[in-house]
Amino acid sequence: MGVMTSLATGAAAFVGVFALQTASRVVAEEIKDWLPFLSEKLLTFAVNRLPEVERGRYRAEWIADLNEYPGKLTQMLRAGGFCFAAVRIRAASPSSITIKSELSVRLKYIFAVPRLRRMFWKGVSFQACFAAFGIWGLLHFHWSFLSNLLYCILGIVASFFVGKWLTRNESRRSVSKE
Amino acid sequence: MASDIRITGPTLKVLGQMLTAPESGISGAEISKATGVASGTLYPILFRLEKARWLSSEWEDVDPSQAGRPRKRLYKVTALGCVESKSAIADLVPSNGRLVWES
Repeated sequence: MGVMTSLATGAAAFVGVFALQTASRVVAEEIKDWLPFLSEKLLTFAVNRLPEVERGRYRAEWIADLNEYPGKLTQMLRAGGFCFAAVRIRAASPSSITIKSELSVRLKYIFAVPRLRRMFWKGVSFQACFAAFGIWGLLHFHWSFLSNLLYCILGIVASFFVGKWLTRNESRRSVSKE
Repeated sequence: MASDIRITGPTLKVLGQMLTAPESGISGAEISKATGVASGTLYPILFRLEKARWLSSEWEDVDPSQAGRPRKRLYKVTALGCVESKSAIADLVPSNGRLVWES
């Protein structure tokens, strides 16, 4: 019985190792075949991070670069490096988009549309009044829920009037247009 | 612009390699192989050096269909780059087997 058990265990182990080896080989082959596709995707991702004027040049240059490395895994790792390179090149590029320029573009669009402009100013006034009355409420904290609630209501009411006042020119302009 | 260049360790390695490069120029991959600087660090350095006119680059003069591979972008050190990089390297002094900046 002991010999039979050992034989069965040995056979099972042999089959297990063989199956594992075959499976790992299949998985390795599969990954190997996917690596060029991943490299291409990473390269495209990196190129799209670059300023538009540099994209054509760097795409061609980086394809040639990858071509100088024979290993598919090395190529993929190098393509991954291009993603970091692209971000740094974009940051160092004089034509790159900065946070300031992005914000100014967004604000320009907001102020171009009257309804958005009104919403913006009302939002600003609401935040300011709410913060002011909130701070006032905290400074004059009486452990009373009602007093704090009152300050919040005051903030909302004040923000309504401040918002109206900030967008008063807007209303006048629309009235005069009509 | 030239004074804007940050001379870091990898930048020095790249400049050192560029000074010994052949007249025809050297590709990014070749610089990477020679210096061990990874692609993520190398290309921003080459970009900055090129913008500062320390380096110039041009496409390799081969026909890709005949060569059976894509054209490489070859980098060459300019006269300005030669002077500036030599002066940057000259500022370094040996210390414990490494090069450090003179304090």
